[in-house]
Amino acid sequence: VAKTDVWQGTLALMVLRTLETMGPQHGYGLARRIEQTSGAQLSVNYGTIYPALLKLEQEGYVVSEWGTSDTNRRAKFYRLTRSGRRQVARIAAEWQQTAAIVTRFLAPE
Amino acid sequence: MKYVRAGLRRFRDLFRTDRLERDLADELEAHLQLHTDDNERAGMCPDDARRHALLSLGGVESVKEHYRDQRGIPMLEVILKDLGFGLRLLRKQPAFTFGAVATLTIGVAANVLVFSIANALVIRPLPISDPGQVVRAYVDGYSNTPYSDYVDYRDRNQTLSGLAAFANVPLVVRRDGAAEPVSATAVSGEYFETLGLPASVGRMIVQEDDRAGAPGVVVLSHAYWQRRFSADSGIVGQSVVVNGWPFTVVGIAPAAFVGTQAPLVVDAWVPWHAPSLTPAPENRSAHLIGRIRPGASLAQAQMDVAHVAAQRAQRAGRDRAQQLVLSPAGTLLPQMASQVNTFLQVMGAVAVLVLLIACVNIAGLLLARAEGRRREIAVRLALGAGRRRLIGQLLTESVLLSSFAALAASIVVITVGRLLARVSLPIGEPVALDVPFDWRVMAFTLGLSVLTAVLFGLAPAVQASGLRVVSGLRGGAGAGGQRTRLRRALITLQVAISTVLLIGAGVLVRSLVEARRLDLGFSTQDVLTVNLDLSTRSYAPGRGIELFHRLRGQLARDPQVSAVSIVGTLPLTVSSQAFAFLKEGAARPAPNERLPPVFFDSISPGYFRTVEMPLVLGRDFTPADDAGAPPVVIVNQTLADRFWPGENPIGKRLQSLAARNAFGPLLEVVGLARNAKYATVGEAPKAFVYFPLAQQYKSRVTLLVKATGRDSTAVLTAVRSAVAALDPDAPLSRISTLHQATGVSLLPLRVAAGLTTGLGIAALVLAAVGIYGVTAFLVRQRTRELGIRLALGAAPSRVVRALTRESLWFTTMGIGLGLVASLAATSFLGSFLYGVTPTDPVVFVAIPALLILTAYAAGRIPAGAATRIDPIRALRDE
Repeated sequence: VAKTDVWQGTLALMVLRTLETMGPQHGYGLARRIEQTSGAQLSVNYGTIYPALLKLEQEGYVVSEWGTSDTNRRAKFYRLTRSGRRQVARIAAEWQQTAAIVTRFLAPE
Repeated sequence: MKYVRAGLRRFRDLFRTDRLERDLADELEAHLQLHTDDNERAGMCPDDARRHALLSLGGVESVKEHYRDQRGIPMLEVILKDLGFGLRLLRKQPAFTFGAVATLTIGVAANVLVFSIANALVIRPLPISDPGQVVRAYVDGYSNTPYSDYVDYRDRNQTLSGLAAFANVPLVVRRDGAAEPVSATAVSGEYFETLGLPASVGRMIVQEDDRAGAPGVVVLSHAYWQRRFSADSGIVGQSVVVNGWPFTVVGIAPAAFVGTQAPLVVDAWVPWHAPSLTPAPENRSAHLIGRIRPGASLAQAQMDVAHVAAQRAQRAGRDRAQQLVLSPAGTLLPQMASQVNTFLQVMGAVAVLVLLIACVNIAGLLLARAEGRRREIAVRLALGAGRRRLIGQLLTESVLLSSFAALAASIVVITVGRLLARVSLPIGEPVALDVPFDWRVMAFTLGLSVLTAVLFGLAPAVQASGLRVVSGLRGGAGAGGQRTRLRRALITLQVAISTVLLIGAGVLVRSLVEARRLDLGFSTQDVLTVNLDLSTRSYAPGRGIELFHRLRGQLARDPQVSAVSIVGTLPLTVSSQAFAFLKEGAARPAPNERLPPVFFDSISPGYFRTVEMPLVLGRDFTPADDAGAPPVVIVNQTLADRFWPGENPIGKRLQSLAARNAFGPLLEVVGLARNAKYATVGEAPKAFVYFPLAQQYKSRVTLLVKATGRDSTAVLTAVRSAVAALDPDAPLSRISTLHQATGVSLLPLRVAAGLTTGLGIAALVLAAVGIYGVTAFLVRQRTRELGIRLALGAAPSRVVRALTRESLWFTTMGIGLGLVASLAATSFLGSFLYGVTPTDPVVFVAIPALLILTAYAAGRIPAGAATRIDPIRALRDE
C-alpha cells in the first residue's frame, strides 16, 4: 500500500489502538507491532511513527517518559491518557461505520 | 479544543528547541539500538544489523526533518530563519545595504510626508465627539454670514441640534505687566456645546456667558496656556486684562483642539457678545458651524435650511432666497480646501514617482546581486529547496530593506513634523501645522513598505528562482541585453531630472547670495523694529498721534537710542498700498485710462535719519506738520521725474484721485527722497509718496529704534517700559531687527532654493544608486570575459575605463538633456532672480561637473571591484 492520506490518518488510530491493547510502549516496539498486525502489508519507514507520536502528544492523547526496555536499553515510552482512551473509542466507531458503508457499496449485488 | 491545546504546546516548544532536539536524537538512537539488538538476535552480523535498522528507519535526518515540521510552528520558524539569514547578508554588504536603504528612505519619506500633511489637513477629522455630524454652512458660496441672518437660521431650523457662529477678532491679553496680541476667535454661546468639546481644565464658554453685559470670560488654547502660563492650572479662575477690560479665564481647551480653521491656530476664545471686541457683535460677520440632529441626514438638514431661507425671502419680499449650503466640517479652512487638495495631489504624484524610481533602482541593485548569487541559488535548488521557499527567502530580504527604510522615513517625517510645528511663518497670521504621527500615518507607512518590498523585490526574486539548475551551476551568462537597455534609459532620465533641479537650485542659491548685496536704498543696520497695534484700544486718531509723539520723545532722550521713528508698514515686507495721484493742474484721466500706480505710506519725523536714507532736497516732516497744518508730502525721485521732469519738485503740489474721479486735497511737496526698494528686493523703481503720520493716521504701526550700540535688542527694555508707561494695554509684537524683518521679502526665494536643493540632492542620490546598480550588474555578468582579458594581460586601468565609459556615456546623455531643459526652466525663474542671469555660467559649468564626478564615482566602485577579479578563479568559476 502506498503512503496515502488514508494511511496517515489511520496511523494515529493504529498507534492509539496498539497502546490501548499492549499498554505503554516505545516507538520501535509500536512500529514493529503495527507492522506485524498489518500482516507486513504496510511496508513503511519506521521513522514515520515519530512525527505521528509527537502529534498525538501535542493533542494530549498520549504522554511520554523515559524508561528501560525488556532488553535493558533506555527508551522513551508512550502511554495512553484518559482522553486518549476516549479518542480510541470515538475514532474506532467512526472508522467501523465508514468501513461498513464502503463495504456495502462494494458488496456484489 | 484539541487544536488550541496543540497550538499552545507547539508555541511553547518554539522556545525549547535545544532540549527537544537532544531528546529526539536520543530517542532515535534508542530506536536504532533496539532494532539492532533484534537484528543481531535474528542472526545478523553487527554491521548489517545496524545498517538494516537505519534503512528501515528511513534516514535519521529525514525523520528529524519531518519531526521538526510537526513540532513548533514551521512557518514562523522559517520566517525567523530567513530574517536571520537576510540580516547576516545585509550586514556583510554594508555599502549595498546603505545605498538601498537610503534610496528607499527618500521614496518612502516623500510619500509618508505627503500623506501625513494630507492627514493633518484633510483626512483627520476634528478632534470632537461624532465629527461626522458636524457641518459648516455657506451662504451663497461664502463663509461670512451677517449675524442677524445667523440668528434667524439658528432659531428657525428643525434639523440641527445646534448652530454656532464664530469669527476671528483682534485681542490683546495682559497679565503681569506685559500686553501681547493673541490669535482669538469670538464664538456664540452654542459653539462648544455644538462641537461637543469638553474643557481639559475648568469649563468652556456656555450660553450664559454670551449675553450683552455678562462678565468677560476667556478660554485659552492648550498651547497658549503652556506657552504663556507654563501650564499652571491656577490661572483658571484668575483675572486677565483683555483689550483693557477685566476678563476671567474659565477654562483650557483640550490639547488636540486648535480651532475650526486650521492651519490658522487659535490662542483664545471669547464669547461673541464679550465686551471690548471690535467690530461690535451685530456688525461682525460670522462663520457658521452646526451639528445635525441624531437620526437626521445631511440631505434632510439641507432641505430644512433651504426651507428657512425661502421663508426668509418671502418675509422680506425678495424673489430669490439665499443659498445656504451645508457641507461636512473638516479641519481645513474651507477657502483653502481646493488649493490644498490640488497641492497635495501634485505632491503625491511627485512622491509616487520618486518612490517608483527608487524601486526600479533597487530592483536593479538586487538583480545585480542575484546575478552574483546564481551559483548559490542553483546549489540550493539542486539540493531540493522549493521555489516558493526560495522566493520567500529573497522577498524576506526585500522586506527587511524596506522595513529599515520605513523606520528611517518615520524618523525623518517625525522630525519634519516637529520642525513644521515650530516654524512660525513671518506673514502676520498665526499659522502652525500640526503634523501628527498617528496610527493612520503608521498604518500607511507599514503598508507602503510592504508594497515597496514586493514592488522592487518580487521581479528579481522570481527571476532568480526561475534559474535552470544546470545552466546556473555551469554559470552561463544570462541574457540581460533588453533588460539593461530600459534601465539605462531610466537612469538617463534621472540624470536629466537631477541636472534640471540642481541647476535651478544653483541659480536660486546664487541669487539669494546676490540679493543680500543689493543696494536697498536704506540701511537696516542696528535698527530694532516693534509692532505697535492700537486698533484694539478704540482711540480717536488725536489720542493715538499724541501717544506716538510722546513715545518718540521719551525714547529719543534715552542715551542708548540714536534715532527713533514710526512707520505704517515696514519696507520689504511684501505688502504695499498704491493709489492714483495727479500733479496739480493735470486733466482728469479719460474714463478708460489707467494711471500708473503711486505707492505710499505714513511716517513720523525722523524716519529718514533712522534708516540712513538722506533727503536729496527739502526737509523732513516735523511735529508741526499735524492734522491742523497744511497737508504736506515727501516724494521719491521716480515720482518727481514722472511729474516734473528736470524741475525742482519742492513746493510743487499733487493730489490723489479717489473713486468716482473725486480729487483729494492738494498736497505740497516739502522733500525729495532717494529711490529705495519698497515691497520686494527685485522690484523695478516705484513712484512713492510719504505722508506725515499725524496727517494720515494709522492705528497699526511699527516702531523703529536705532541703537547707539551694536546690539539693537538692548534698547528693547527701554521700549517696553516707555510703552507700558503710556498705555499698559498697548500690545507690542513681532519684535525683531530691521535686517530680519526685511528678510521676509526673500522668503519665496529661500523656500524655492531650499526645495529645489533638497529635491536635486535626492534625485542625484537616486541616479547615483542607479548607475552603481547598472555597472555592478555589467561587471557581474561579464566576470568571465573580464577574467580572460586580465589573464591575457589587459591593464586593469583599461578594464575600468571600458566599464565606466558605459555609465559616463548615459550620464553625459542625461546631462545634455538636462541642460536643454534647464535653459527652458530657468527662464521662468527670471522674476525670482537678483544679480544673476538665468543662464549663470558658474552654475551651468559647476553642476554638470558635479554630476559627472558623481556618476564616475558611482560607476568606479563596481568597476574597480572588477579589476580585483582573480583571473584563475574567474575562469574556473564558470
